Amino acid sequence: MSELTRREFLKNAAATGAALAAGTALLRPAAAETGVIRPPGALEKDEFLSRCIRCGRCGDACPSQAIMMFTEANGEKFSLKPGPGDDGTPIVLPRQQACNLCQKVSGDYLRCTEVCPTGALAKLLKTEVTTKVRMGRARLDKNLCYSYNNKTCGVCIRACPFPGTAMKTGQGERPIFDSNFCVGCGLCERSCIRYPQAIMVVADA
Amino acid sequence: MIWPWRRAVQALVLASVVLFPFIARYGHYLWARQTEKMLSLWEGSAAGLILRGTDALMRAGLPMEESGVAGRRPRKALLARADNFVGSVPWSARVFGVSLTDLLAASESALAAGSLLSVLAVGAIIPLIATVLLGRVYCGWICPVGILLPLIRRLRALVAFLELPVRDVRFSKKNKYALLGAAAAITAAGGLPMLHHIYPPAILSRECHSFATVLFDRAESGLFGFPWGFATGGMLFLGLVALVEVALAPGFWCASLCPGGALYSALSRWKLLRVKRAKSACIDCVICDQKCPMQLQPMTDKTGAECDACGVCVDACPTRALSIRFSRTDAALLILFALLLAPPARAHHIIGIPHYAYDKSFPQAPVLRLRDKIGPYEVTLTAYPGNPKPGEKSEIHVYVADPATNAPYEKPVLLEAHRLRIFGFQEKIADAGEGLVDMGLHKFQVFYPVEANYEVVLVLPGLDGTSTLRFPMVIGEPGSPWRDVALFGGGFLALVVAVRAVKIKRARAAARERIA
Repeated sequence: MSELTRREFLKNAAATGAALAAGTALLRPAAAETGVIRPPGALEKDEFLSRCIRCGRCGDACPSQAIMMFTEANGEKFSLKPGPGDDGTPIVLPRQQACNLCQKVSGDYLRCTEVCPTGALAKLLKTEVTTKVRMGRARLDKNLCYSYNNKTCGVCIRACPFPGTAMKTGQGERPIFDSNFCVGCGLCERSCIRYPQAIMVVADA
Repeated sequence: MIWPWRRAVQALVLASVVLFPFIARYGHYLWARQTEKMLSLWEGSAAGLILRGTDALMRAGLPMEESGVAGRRPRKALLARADNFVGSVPWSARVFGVSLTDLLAASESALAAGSLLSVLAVGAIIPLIATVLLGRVYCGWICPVGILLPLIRRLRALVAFLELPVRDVRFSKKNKYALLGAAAAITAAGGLPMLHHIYPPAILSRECHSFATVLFDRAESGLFGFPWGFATGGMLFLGLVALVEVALAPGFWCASLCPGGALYSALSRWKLLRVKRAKSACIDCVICDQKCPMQLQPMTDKTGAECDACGVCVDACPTRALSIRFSRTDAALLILFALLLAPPARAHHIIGIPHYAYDKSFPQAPVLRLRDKIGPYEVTLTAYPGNPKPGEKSEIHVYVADPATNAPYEKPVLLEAHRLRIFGFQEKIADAGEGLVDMGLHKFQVFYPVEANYEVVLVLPGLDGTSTLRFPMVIGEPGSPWRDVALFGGGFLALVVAVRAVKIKRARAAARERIA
């Protein structure tokens, strides 16, 4: 058919290049922003980001609306900004809404892991929560905690789904964490009555 | 007549793209037993209207009765229904328990991770088989962009009317394969999927989710304005594609650049569904070639793998020489296959009680927790309420501590508040003052007089070097000055277009009169 002229070639190369450039520009590896909490069952960071197709199924399926898609609008209340590789990936902002590990929801699996189409969230049985979920670990700031400042509180202990293992009760209802058992669900962070809260869940580095 | 069917299917998909996020949110409120509360709280607002509409849609055919109590919303049945619609149509969704994933999504995920998991294969199997047998039907019948772009292209009539140059640049159809190949190489090398950033149906469904999230999140904290700020970078890309389609090259995206189209075309080499031409009836009128949205030539049987079975040529043919069909043996095989694909029965039963403290603070506590670093210290600022109404008291708590030693900052912390005017002008509304110190926290109370963007400035005079930190604070729904500029610009442009249109109309009327 038609000859491939130089003009034609340049025109087509420009169109393809522009589309490719747009894709790669948005792709740039995630900025140094770490420390976001991923939903339960998430693979380790690099593999999670490669497998996740940013479809939002986990967020739709989450019964407690704890899973948000990481966009600028969602992150700005917590001074979090998605790096380009993070855009649209699921995160949990425990202070806003913590993961209740589908404790009182019927079904055998954690719902977000059940609907994930790519396996970025590995399918987890609810009975496997204590052994396989590691969203992060709770960290306490004793300067802020009421119980460590001679005012008994104990709200977090009542919120913890694994009292006695992940969180033990100390003198004057002081929370004592055991990071071997903490799954990082953030229910303690969510329930803390201080602003800013004394407990914060930090993602494993 | 093929087009009514095709448009109906596309419209259904488009409606799902828009509705699924709302259904998900509706499901969340059902889980939390908050539907009734939200419906009454949001009476009359856009969010309330959408929630009510979703409720009506989901409740269609169900009696208002639960556990024998008449008038109570049938929560369990509604939850079971909502569970049928999960995810982003058509990128990746679970519809009636069947997992469906776009082949582009599946391949880029598998490629980036370097292995294929069985979950992913299960979701991709139906689209894969459909594509191999039927060809690029996804593009012609499912993709919601396929119905949006033709609508947007109608603006070309306006461009022509305004006597602006109407361009029709054609690009090579091979571009998309180059794009797909290059993107695949980058994905495999970089380990991050990239094509969803430039694949319009994926962008569209993501933006719809983002819209629902921002709309309802704002409504939960009592803000009912239009949710500006839901749009992400992908929206810009969609806008750009639309602009090029109108101004420069109609149909260029689907025909020559879409990476999804490339993948689907590549997979449909041995497809069974093809455009057939009855040679005896064909009168070589070239209408079909002109109408083909994929820029193919049905008149000379040059359709092949690029054809998306849209049926435009079939409808356009004046002598009905064209048709889309299978051969008879193919059809028999297909029917056999369809029987194999009959969906398995699936049982639901969902009972659930939301967790501790859900109701107490739902709508969710207006949480704001901003963090920054200054010198060796980490500063955490919370405000309650996070986005107060004008005149409402807002408690600001500031916590300054050294993360290394966990020692709180002992010296005074001062807080100022400024109102931000357009183009960087500021106006001080609260002078620097020391707060109340309580257990390591510096507590301040700020009243913001009017709805606007503010900035809270912390001054730590005891520090060497920089001693101020700035945090943004939005009161009410002031919007951004850039939005106002954009609205003004858009309005101005519309005015120019209207004036020009009227002028042209008058000139033409005058010309007609002169002739008459």
